Amino acid sequence: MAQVERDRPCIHVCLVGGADEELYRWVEIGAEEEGVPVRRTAVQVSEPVLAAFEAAQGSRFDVGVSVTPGRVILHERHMPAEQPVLSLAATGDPRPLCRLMGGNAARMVVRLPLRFAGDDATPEPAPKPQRRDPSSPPVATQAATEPAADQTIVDVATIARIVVRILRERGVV
Amino acid sequence: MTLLIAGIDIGNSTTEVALAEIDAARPAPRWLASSRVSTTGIKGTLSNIPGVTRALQEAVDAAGVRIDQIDLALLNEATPVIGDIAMETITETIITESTMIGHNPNSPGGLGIGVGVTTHLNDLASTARGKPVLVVIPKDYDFQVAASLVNWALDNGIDVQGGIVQADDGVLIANRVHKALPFVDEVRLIDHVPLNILAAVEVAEHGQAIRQLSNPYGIATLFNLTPQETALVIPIAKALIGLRSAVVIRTPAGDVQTRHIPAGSLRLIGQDRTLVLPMDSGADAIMAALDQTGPLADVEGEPGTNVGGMVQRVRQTMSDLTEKPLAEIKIRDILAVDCLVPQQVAGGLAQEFSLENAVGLAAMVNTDRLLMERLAQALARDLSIRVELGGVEAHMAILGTLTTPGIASPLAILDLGAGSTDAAMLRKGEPVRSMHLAGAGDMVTMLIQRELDLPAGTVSEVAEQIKRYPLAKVESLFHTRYEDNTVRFFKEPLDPKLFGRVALVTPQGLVPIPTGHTIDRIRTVRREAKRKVFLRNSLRALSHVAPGGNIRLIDFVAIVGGSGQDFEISQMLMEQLNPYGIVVGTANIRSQLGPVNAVATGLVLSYFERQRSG
Repeated sequence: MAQVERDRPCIHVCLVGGADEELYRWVEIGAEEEGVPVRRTAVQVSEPVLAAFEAAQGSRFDVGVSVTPGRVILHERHMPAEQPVLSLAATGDPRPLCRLMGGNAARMVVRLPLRFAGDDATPEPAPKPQRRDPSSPPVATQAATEPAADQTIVDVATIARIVVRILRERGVV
Repeated sequence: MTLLIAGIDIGNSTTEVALAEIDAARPAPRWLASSRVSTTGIKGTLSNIPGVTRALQEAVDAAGVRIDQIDLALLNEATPVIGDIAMETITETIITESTMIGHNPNSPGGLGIGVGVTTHLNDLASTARGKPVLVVIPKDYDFQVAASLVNWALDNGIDVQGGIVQADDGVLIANRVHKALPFVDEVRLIDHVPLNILAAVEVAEHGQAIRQLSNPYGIATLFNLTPQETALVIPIAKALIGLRSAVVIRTPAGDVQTRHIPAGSLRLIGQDRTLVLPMDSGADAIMAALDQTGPLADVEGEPGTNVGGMVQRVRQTMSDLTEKPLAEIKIRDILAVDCLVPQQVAGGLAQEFSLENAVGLAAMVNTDRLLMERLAQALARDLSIRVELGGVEAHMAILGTLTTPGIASPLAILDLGAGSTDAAMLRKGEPVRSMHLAGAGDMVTMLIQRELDLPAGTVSEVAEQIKRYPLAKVESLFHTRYEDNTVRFFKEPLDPKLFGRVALVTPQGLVPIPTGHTIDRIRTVRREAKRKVFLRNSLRALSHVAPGGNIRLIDFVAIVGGSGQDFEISQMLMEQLNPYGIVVGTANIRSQLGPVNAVATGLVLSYFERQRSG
């Protein structure tokens, strides 16, 4: 079973240089919208480009991604090791970048043109940066019980309050 | 005595120069240089002078002489024709009483059909239980928030039937909602979706197209429509055919005004008879009528209709250029071409396009010798050299073509230019017969631009390039597949920006095309445009110059002109003319220039012959 799981074709993603664990999920989300599976993998090297290359070597799709705190790198098995397909530096929030790169890794697998941040040439511009906090509660009912969980997430908090208000109106809470 | 002679051919698109030294004592001119630059302004007007000067300069530079050393410059005489092109759609899709969102995002979420009242995500919680709703999710909402709210609503008995999503989040939301629901995503103009209105969404299986919403009776079933109401949704169903996902929204009656554009009719005034053709009878009927009218005296469009405006515009442009009164501009030839152009659907919500019938029209008017004489005088004054009109263009083209190795008379030539398609026929002991027809390379470019809906502004650029170069699809970072299915591998990885794209194979490398069209579609449009213009015009022109109008009596055809350099037109012509027993070849002027410079070369040769005989 474990063997089958390991051999399933996936985009391989590695986190190096102490990158936030949560960023892996954003790469996964980017690939999920295109319907391509992703797997977390461990690599021997610590240099980001070589790490992405090593991830790509292990992937049956020949596609690997490495996430570092300041940079996300997309690599492909047949590329020269030191020349990644794409290497984007994070300015500000790294999460949209991870999602974009996950999407691009998947687009390489499904053979669609890649998307570039701030690219207006394609009919559909690159996904708008997500400003929502991903740590928002997975289900609204939880949010309803802890409406002030994170005051920095204005919209989520607002929605949560609305939900609570309505729940109260209906006498659910 | 040796003379330095320049033959100058001002065409619709390029100005060509042939520079030679002639000496009546020698058997042939000594060719020094030739050049080819873009024509400045419209052929036959004074604005051509900068282009002519540049072409001359290039030629003298190459030959190592100066412009003021030129003893005589020869211009092609009385540019017989100038042409213009226009296109007008003759059908339009307007939807009333309902509206729709239909598009093909890469990844809509979920599956199936949902019918309900459009409800903003924020208002979902206050919706009554059991009432079917479609949730509208603007991009300010994170997919996780949206999914959890939808789940919460489902858990609380709210009958969510599907959703309309602004961001590219359809799959992410559908994956997180614990009931299989259709989510149409990438709906950019989500603000335009009316709320609290009955609507239906449909997302098809992978690899399939929607069925219910592309079927008028399917829509009628979902919305419980009467036969009269069903008639009104037919344009919607038509516009949604072949899409992977769609939304249809019932809007209150009278939201969108119906506007009917009369297509109008074209009045062909010929020497033999006058015929009136409705535009919607199609290009073939118009061209067939042209055969019956005899040589055209003029063409009129029905006033107050699209075609009326189109003909009027052509006339106005020509009047402005030639400085002749509007009434004196007579259209001497037209080429009508049917095409399908994507037009925005009036009343649609997501800038949907529907393929509409359109007619492209190339028209040609005769100009007079006075224009070229005026140009010759101005040129002589500006450059301080002697300038003369050298001879009729068709004769010059034949003379120039005869410098091709292996060519002899009797011979027909096809001059495939940018503005007109010309044919000339040379037979021993007979005067040269020639024919000039509207429609050539520029019209092909216009058809490509309109049919592929290429962005305006860079219009001619992209369309012109598509016309000129073959296509390839970049299938991986290391290989491309060409339009003939051959594959080429590269040692060095390609630019990631090219990955997955359809690109043009140009001498400068691969140039990606900024559209989402498939390689097959672009290739089909390109070849059809060339076929509709060049193949039809070549047959028309050749039958005019053929002895007794019988194209089978022509044995050899040589192709000259800028469009003769096209990578596929000459082969397409060979295929087309083969059944008539005609041998087609591309000329190679002076054994080295290919199909260009025929007229300029002919001008020098003609002068040389006159010097020797006279």
